[in-house]
Amino acid sequence: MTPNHPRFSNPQDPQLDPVVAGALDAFQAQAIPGRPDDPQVAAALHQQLADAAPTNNHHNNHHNNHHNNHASRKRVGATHAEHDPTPKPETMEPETGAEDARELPSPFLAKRFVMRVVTPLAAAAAVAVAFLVFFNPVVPATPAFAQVAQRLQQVQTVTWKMSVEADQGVFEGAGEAANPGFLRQDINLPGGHVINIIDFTQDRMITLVPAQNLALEASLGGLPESQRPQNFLDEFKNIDEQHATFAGEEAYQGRAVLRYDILRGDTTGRVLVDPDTQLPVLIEMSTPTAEPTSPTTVTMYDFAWDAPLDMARFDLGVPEGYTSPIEMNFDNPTGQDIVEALLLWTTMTDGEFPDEFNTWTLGSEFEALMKGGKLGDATPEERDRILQQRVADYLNLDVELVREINEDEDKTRAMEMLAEPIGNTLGRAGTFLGIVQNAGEFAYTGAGAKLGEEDRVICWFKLPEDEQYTVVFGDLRTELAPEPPEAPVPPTAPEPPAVTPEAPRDMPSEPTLPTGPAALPAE
Amino acid sequence: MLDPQTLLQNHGDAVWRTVFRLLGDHDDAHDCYQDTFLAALRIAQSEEVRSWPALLKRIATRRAMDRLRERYAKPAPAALGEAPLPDPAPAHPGRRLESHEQLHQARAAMAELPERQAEAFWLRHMEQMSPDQIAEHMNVSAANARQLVHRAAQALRDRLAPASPASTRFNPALTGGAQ
Repeated sequence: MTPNHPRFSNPQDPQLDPVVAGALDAFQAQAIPGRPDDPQVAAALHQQLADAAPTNNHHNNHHNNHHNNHASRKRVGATHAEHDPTPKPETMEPETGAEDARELPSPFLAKRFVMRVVTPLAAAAAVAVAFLVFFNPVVPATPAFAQVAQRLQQVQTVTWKMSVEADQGVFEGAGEAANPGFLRQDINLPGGHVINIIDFTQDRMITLVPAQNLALEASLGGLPESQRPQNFLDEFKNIDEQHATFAGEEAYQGRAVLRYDILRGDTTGRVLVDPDTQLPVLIEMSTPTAEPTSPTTVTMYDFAWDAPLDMARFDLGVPEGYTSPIEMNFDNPTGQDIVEALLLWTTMTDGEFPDEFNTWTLGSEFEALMKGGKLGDATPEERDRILQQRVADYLNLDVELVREINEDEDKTRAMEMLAEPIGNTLGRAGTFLGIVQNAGEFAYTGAGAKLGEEDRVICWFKLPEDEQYTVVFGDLRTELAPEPPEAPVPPTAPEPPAVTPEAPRDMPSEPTLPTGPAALPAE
Repeated sequence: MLDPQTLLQNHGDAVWRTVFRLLGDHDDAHDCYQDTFLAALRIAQSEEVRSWPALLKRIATRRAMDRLRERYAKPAPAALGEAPLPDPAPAHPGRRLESHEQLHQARAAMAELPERQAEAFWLRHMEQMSPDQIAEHMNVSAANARQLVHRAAQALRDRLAPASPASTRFNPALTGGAQ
């Protein structure tokens, strides 16, 4: 690249970055050959127009309800371009869009400029993906489970409640899914209550943070193919035969149900099935976590199969009263996103790696960090000054600019220049962590390490399709290894849980789960 | 409905410039060129077209961007900063090697942008549309159009700027998922 003397200039935007201007210059400087012969193209156009009857029905009937919701929200005065029946469908713009960023409530980001945005988003994204991939390790079918599997094939909608028990605590939530690819989760996370809606037909996600009337939009394409459901309900359908063993009857909520034990790789669990409907009433799955202190256990219960759902609840539009200040891009998360998040973290701590690093707490831990959690007795002013300097370092910005932005009444620059890049870093890392923690292998051993310790293993991971392990060292270099490195034993690590592929955990017959509706704030 | 021949005569040059600049490949550009007019004519069958140049620019940009994304998505992701395909643009005697490389990188970076950002950015800077015009044709607010353009410029800058020392430590294999 030689961006030093760009020839390109747009008279309406003379302040283009030289690198970008150089790229535009390169586009513009190309020699343009003569265009195709008019009569020839005209003849082809005539032919194609004659061959294909025009159609104005650009709504996919399969998604009729959902997409009509979008259509009804479109801006009045939309032009002919939106009716183009042939271009690739695009995400439709809600009436309340990014332009509302200027009207953020005044306390927003006043000093902690990015955290209120990135924390819930990163956490929500991570959790969403964690759930997506959770059942993927349990694949094809055995005769013992055939009836249930067959019944699941007919299901069009499902709602459930859920409980996630991890080292970091117990998170409660509720979920809804509908064919062909709609998922909504309401989850209480350490960072607060979030609502996460994914439309896999569009590879789009929106996260709502009711406490702040905040909506965060993100693209979510490019998940590894093995982890990407074409239809979320297939995740339930994948709990079947080959790895499900009938284990007799047991009592659940005062009645006899059929129990199937699940065993696949490191994932163990049970599915309780209503003998009358042949549909699950409880699914409980445990997966060992990186730090082998205890497994993460996800329990889904209180299912309502094929219940009528309000499809408007899957709408990706920004709800009235919410602001949508930034756009996230979680497409194609990779291991590099983990490294980038570690670079961000160590920049913000002057070289210290986090004590824990996982999909569940990435957001809340980073929020604590940005509140000056690692800065001891520093005054609030000192903390702000130090954190602003470190943000500037990470983003390669002048610290005076960061401070100036931080004082802006209009937070547009703060959102675009600070919140968006840092939010993307954490969100992408959280997404990839969600994948490797649940569908692959991941271990974090970086507690107490300092940036630059080149022999210190910080973490390692491996996706199911990977042949080797990727190991991240203290200088943030990565190496591939045929075997995982030996992890240092944490000084106070408790005994590993009694969950092994050979000996599934002895599950209690009655789950200790909340019996009433999940205590979730109203949206 | 306007006759295709007339439409091509009046707007062919502009559409061809758009698709060829973005794609740099005659065959790809030809396909997009024809697709653009076909889509526009279909629209004209059902409603009045207020501005043919604006409509054609937008469709051409979108089609060419789709094609560009397909091109760069086809092979397995290559090493950081490396274009996955050779630039198919024909050699130009006066062009320096670095310009050729610059186009490689610029196309790859454009292909990585979110669709709406890429479209808004191109319409703004290469097609010289105003934010109001972009807003009208993309069905967004003018403020949103400005944001899309701004974000695209930021993303392009980040992708095209020389890699930072830290990022050079990344294992290129990671971009493909550790293999």
